[in-house]
Amino acid sequence: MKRFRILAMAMGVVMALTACGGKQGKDESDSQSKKSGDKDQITITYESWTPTKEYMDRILTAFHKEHPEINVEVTLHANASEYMTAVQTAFASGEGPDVFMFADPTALNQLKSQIEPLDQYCTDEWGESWADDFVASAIGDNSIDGVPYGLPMPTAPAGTMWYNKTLLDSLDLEAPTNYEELKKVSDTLREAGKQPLLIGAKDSWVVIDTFQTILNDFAGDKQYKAYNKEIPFTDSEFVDAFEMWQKLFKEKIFQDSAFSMTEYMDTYNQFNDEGIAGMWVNGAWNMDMYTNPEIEDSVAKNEWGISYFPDLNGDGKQPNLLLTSGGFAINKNSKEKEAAWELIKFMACDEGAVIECQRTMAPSGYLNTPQPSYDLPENGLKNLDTVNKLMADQPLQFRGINDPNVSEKMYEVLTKLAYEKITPEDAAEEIDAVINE
Amino acid sequence: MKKKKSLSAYFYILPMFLFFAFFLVYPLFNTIRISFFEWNGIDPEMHFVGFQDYIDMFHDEIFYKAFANFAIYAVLVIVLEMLIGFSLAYLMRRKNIMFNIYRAIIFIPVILLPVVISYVFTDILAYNYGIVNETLRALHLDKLALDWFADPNVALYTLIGITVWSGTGFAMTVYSSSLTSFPSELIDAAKVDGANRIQTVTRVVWPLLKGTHFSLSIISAISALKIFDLVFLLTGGGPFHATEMPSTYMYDKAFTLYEQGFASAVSTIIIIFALLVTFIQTKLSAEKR
Repeated sequence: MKRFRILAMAMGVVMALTACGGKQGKDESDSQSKKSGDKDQITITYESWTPTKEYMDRILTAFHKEHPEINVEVTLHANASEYMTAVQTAFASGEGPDVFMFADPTALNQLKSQIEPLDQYCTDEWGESWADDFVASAIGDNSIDGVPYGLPMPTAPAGTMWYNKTLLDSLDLEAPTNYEELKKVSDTLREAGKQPLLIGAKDSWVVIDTFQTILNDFAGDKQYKAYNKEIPFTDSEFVDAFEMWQKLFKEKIFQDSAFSMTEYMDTYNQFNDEGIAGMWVNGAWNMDMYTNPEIEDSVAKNEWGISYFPDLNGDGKQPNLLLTSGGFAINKNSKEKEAAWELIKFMACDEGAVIECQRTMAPSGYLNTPQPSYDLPENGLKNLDTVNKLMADQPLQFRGINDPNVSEKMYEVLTKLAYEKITPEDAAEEIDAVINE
Repeated sequence: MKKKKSLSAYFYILPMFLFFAFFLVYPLFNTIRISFFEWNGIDPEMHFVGFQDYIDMFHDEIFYKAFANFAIYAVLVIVLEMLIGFSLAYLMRRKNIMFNIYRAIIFIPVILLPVVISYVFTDILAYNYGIVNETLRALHLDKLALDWFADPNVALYTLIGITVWSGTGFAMTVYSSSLTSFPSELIDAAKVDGANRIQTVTRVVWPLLKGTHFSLSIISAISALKIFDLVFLLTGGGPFHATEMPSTYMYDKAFTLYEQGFASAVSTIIIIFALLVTFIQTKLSAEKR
């Protein structure tokens, strides 16, 4: 009997604690609805891998001035793949942030079931012809079957090659524009004890970016037809492109042990910070090295250049750049969709976009975004002009492979080719088989 | 009265049972359930596919590669950690301040986070500028300056080496505590019977620590099966699956290819495999006893 009395008391304590917990929860919820002037306080969550914390704070400060009633709780991840793992897990458990991002159309397709369609929001905000105010390719990348699911984020192109002009000048070299020049520059850099063309091949995305650029050089836009099963992937131009990829490793144009190095931070540090490499495969988004306070001194020591990837098939034409936009999206289960819309609009089109453009030095997908001012050194401004010129001079091609199985197989065969474990013909056949699976 | 007693006993274990049911049994059965569906891990809709994920998995050569790598990894890690751990514990079994310091130093890697270990070894073993290869080149041993993480013939053994480095301290500590209670009369008796030092260790001490060997081998085998962080951070399972493990294979399916059903099928096989390993080891241990 005594035992039951103790038990009853314990139950009482538990119930009291539970009641306290419930009360506390309500208080918290109430505190989110405190009055601020005439408007209720609203809290929404934002989760992404970008921008950096420093720039996110700047964006939110500006946002809060415009929308003092909206508080934003931010979760930033180290990179896009870590972020995707986190949001995928959150959505699977029925949770997820109010506002989040997708890196490209592939990620958009994966997350589509969780995203609020934005057609009505856009029409209400900008009228029926709202799409005219956006870069067509950017809004296309943010849409599925013509319905927008995101507002495009400022995006810079891939398929460019960076070079350390100071280092090349010291060796009496110039930025290579074709295979022969590339080979000569790489050999001279190696002889001088420097790194030749850096690639962080441990990261599949940069391997695929680089190979897609080579494919566009050798086969025009045929790769996209092949992914759509319109033509086989075994055509000779594809095999030639695979052969060239293998040659870049055989002829030691890429650095040794490329597959043990990541793009961020292994090769990033060697190129931008240590200045020990002549060339680096990376997108134009590396313009943000000029705004990275951690490597400010190292960046200032050298003069840098950016160009198209060299013309490797020798037809005298540089390969096109790759550009695919990701975007800002609203969780379709969000309870604060209006506030979420205000945030994504601010980040994609208004002052938030200006701040993000200043960081990435990439153009906004919204054509009416005010032109940002850049506080850059002379070399930075010159390279910014070069990027704009590169983008204007040649058409931009689709970046990425939508089918993750094809994308993964592509990385696998490109690795095997680099290690000379398969022939270019085998590589083409393996990709063709996965496309047609 | 007796019935009341037994009822209250059930009541006392209820919190632990609920914890066990919610956090272990439910996720376990849910994983098995998901393995019968095609699901990308995000969409609310799941399509029942029966055993198709298992059929696909058993037709995937990477699945076999991952388990073959695991077998090599597990056997070498378990054997090396136990042998080195035992040797260190035995050599430093006497009470001595220096031995205490050495033991503490050897134990440090055990408490390091995998991300720290991977950061340290990425630097030390970097092909171009790592201290190991730089030293080897300075000694004109260029051929030994290997591509530790990117050579498919070497990468798995590099991972094994790093795991052994980080785990030996634990084995040493377990053996040390067993040796503390080891009856010294047995060693004295062996000496009286004419056994030399090696014979004493191999025929007296080692066999009498079979309980410790058993516990360590179970813990190491399960740890090896769960290894993910070090592999993911150092090699990502590459180059071309040379260091792929069941856990990285499962992660790749779940979070790179968005095949949650397939990943759950792999997960189910890993669980069955872990249970099997434990069952066999328990059985063997019981028979020896």
